Amino acid sequence: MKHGALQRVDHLIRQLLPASLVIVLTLLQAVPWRLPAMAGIVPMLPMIGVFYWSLYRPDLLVPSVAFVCGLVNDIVMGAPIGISSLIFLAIQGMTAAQRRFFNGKSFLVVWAGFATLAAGAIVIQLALSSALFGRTPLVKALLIEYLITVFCYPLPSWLFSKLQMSWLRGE
Amino acid sequence: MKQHPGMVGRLATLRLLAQRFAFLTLVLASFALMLLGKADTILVERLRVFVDDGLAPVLQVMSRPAAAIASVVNAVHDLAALRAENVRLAEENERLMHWQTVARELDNENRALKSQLNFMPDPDAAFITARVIGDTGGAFVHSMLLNVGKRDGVRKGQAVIAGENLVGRIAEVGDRSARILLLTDINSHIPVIIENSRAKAILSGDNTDRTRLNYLAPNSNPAVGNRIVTSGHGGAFPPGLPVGVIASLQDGIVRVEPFVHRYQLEYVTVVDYGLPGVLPSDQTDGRDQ
Repeated sequence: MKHGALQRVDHLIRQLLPASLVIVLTLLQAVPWRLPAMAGIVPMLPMIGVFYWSLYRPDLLVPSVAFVCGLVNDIVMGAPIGISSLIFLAIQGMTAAQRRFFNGKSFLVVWAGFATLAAGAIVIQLALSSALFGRTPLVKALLIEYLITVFCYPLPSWLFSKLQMSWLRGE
Repeated sequence: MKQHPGMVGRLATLRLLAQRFAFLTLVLASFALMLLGKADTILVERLRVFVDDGLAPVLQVMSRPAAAIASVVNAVHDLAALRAENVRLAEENERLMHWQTVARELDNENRALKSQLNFMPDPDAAFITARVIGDTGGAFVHSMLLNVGKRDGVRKGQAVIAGENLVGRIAEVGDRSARILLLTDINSHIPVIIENSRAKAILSGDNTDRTRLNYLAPNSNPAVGNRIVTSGHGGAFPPGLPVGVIASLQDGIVRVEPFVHRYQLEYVTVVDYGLPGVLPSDQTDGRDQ
């Protein structure tokens, strides 16, 4: 019992890892990269985090975490609040429900699963954003954002799996 | 301790029910937030400012390496176009030398005329230079986050310029962060004039790179290449800030290419012209006007 408090803090930090990583992705997408080719295009990176952790650690990325991550995302991006919360909840719910399907499947299947879910999420975002707030984006820009998001998936996914192996094994 | 198997099953069912209920509650909460965002903008703005202020130092640190990467990429780009750029600049320099002479003459003439008329000059503007620490939004929102806030003297509604050109205005201010609404955002509407014809119009963003010129008088004959500057109407911006040039005229829609591109912005200037602005700023709140 000597290290009880320390162990609890350590445990808590490890438990918060998925949520923190989603927020790091939010900040990464907000950083000004100042690349002419990427002007006005922001890949929706946090979606990757929400999907990954809902799939592999649904006990850590619970609906309330997805909700809070969505709220932070909307605030940082200056978007109307509530939309990302709903989208992240939808991704979390769908992924957690389909865990059995993804279990033991190859990486490509998981990637395709992410691509499908992300497409659904973007359609919801588009519908809510334009219906409720009159914020209609350029469809071309949205499509590019979607493709880049899907294209980016393997890298964070690989990093997360490394982190999961080293930090969350046996937790 | 041993539990009855039926009890375990019931507990699991209860837990599942609770989880479902929590999920549903959160979905409803998301919708509630969206409606709240439409109804009570002040409360939502406070929340935004609070989170932005908290994250600003983190973003500031993260934007440094990003800026370094960007400068390397841009340096490589520039290197490739060095010769062509040099020729272009030499030509431009020649042209500008001519204009400089003209400007000097006009300046002298202007000064002489002003002194004859007893002209009251505009007050000098105070300005704050700020770093862009967040290029946020993407396809839905065109906004940027700055590393200055109330404690540096930034107020809501102030104009943001880069060089001499208009970038947008301050939409939200925290203690140490501020958000610019760019010209291209769908919520940006700015009173402008066409520089040479003095025809008034409203420049509205529509989330594309090129903004639209609305409410233009029918006989104003806009042409591609005409410069657009702020008109100063509405008290939001001083008159004469360069905004962009007319880029296309199609089906009666006049599109303006802004002088400032958002990917170029690393440092911007927040300018206080001492104008009241169209937004009720924090300074004027609660005071007699």
